[in-house]
Amino acid sequence: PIDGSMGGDASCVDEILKEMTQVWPPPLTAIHTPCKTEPSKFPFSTSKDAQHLSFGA
Amino acid sequence: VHSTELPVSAKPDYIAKYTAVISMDQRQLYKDDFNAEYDEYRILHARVESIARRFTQLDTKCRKLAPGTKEYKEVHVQVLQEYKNIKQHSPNYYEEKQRCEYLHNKLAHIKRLIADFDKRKAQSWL
Repeated sequence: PIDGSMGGDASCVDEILKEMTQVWPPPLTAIHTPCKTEPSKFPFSTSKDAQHLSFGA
Repeated sequence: VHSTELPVSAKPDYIAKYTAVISMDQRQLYKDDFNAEYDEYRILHARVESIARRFTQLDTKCRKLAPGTKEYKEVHVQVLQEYKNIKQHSPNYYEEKQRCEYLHNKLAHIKRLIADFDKRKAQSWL
């Protein structure tokens, strides 16, 4: 929008600053994966006794 | 046939294309669309933001200086120089800025629809 051949006059600089200093919102973050319908790990799964758990086998 | 269409409005295309999410499949489709343009958006955003930051710095500097002083004139020369550089190296800067703004609004819209869906889903588990 602004002619590049201008000299150094103040109104041009004001115009440029007005055009170029537009405030930008912070970038959008990515979309995370949806929560699983059940927890992927049971809190006690590290226990050695985990092998004793049966899931309706 | 056109009765449901809004009068010729400035409504962006994505408003009609992306409506409330009602299934996981739809959520995935929307997320794929989001991701397909997300990288382009991030690159554009980083570029445009860094240029805006640079000019904001110069603007702040300018405001602190008394007009007519040597420093004031120097900053003005700098503004003109950097502006010229941008016009030279990125002749499409204006289009890039517009594209960035469009993508920002579009992706924000898609993200909001997905977030609404997730919220409804979370509530339905209670």
